[in-house]
Amino acid sequence: LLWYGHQPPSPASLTSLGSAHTYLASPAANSTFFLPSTTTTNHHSKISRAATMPVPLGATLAEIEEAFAHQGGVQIAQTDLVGEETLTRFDSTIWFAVQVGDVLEDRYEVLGKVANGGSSTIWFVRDEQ
Amino acid sequence: VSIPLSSGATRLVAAAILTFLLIYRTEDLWVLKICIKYSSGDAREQRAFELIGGRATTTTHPGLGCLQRPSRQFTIVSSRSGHHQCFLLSPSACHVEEAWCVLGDLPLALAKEVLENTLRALDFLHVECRLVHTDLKLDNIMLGFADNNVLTGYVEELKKNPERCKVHQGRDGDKYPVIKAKPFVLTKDSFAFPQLNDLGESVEIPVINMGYAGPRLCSPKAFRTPETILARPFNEKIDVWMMGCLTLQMLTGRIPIIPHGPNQPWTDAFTLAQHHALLGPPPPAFLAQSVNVREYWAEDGTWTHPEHDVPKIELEDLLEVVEDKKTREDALDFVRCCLQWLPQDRLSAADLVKHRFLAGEPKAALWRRLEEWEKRAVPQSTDTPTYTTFEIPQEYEADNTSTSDFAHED
Repeated sequence: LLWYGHQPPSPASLTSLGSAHTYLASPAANSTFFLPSTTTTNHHSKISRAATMPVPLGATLAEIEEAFAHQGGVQIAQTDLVGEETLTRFDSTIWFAVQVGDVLEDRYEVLGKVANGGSSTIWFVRDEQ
Repeated sequence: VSIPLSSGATRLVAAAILTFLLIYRTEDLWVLKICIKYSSGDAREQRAFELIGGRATTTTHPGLGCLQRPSRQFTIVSSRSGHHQCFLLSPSACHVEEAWCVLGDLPLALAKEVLENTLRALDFLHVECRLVHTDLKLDNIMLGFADNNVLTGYVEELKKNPERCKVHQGRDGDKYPVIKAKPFVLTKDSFAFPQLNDLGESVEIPVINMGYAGPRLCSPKAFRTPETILARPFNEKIDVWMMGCLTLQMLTGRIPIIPHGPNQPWTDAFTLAQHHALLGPPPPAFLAQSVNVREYWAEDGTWTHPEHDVPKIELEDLLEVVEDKKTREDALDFVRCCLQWLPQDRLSAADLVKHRFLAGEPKAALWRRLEEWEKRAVPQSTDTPTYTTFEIPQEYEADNTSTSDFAHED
């Protein structure tokens, strides 16, 4: 299963879609952590994940940190709680996993996260149709 | 392109294309609310939007525009986490509490606008849709954008500085990506028209009347009404009670009903003691209604509960911070119309809109903004679910964990 990851912050990621091939050509894709994947098997067909899979399944925390190191900015420490993690009784298994760059319903491209509520996450999306 | 660029007609065309592109660029930006694994709350929200959608095409009620409703709803399915209900909404700038933080102070005009719009929306819900909101609080009232520059700036910012992802290690080896939310950068001119939001806790009046909605379900702990605490039948007037509490909160900067001490829960006894302090002793009709009132009051309406005394505070004391004398008196009367022991003594939302506390503000600007807002409003969705036979979910009675709680974040 593909489950998480953040696509490389290339300008193409926000302007063009279905861009798995763009990533294959981009320098970030040379990293051994990036396994090319065109469409996801995680979700039903209405969701496509353009990003390459950043970390192989079962990677150690150190490997995860390394895989995200190219993103720039400050890495969130595994011990820091962000967003919905701060909720009491947070159970990740009933929350939908979204990444920036995902396309939902074949038309809504996720641009970023606006907020989270007690039982929902709120995302900023662009309608491509 | 052989036409000279200096020609007036070309410029006009270019301007038209530019305008079109600008509009297009902001029109395709939306906010998507993805709920957790399908639960009874989603069923209620979906049902509420079905009812509203059924009225929306025929009604001329002004409350419809004061209600934030999704342009589309759909379900996405994940093999990892099941079915998720999604609502596509036009972006709002922030909720009232955030605006309060940005402004440093809540201007009276904004507070009145929030009250008026919320009351209009409530009247539409109560009368036309037969729905009770039950979860009124400041973070469920959204303020729209006054200008779309914030949105385009936000998209630029997302491109330049995307938030970094973190992996949450859940139970059973579950891995879940979490990123920090990036809030909009707002100034005091960014927000406009208030709209009521979040029908996730709404209950249908027929369902209440059939006795399928337990009073334990209702309202944030701090805004609970006497009848829900005493497990009596309730109706849409609990929304009116909560409007009274919201008015006090916005005017005084303090939630009117507080727990007994820091980090303490809201207990039934202490909440009722504060109701007694603010409203005076309950009327005989209230005391005659159920057996469990005897735990708290003697037959003549004196407070007898051993654990707490009635605190020495009155509505006038709470509102003392309002400087202007006329505003204070009007606000006091307005709050008195909302906070009454018996539901039938509270004014309806439609009557409260006409109250003199909300009158007298220049409405022209407000209505102009409403029109602008509605122009931008979404076209009627083509895939609005049609009416289905509604089965009352068992969870209405059993599920009282989803009730909002001021003490916790969820």
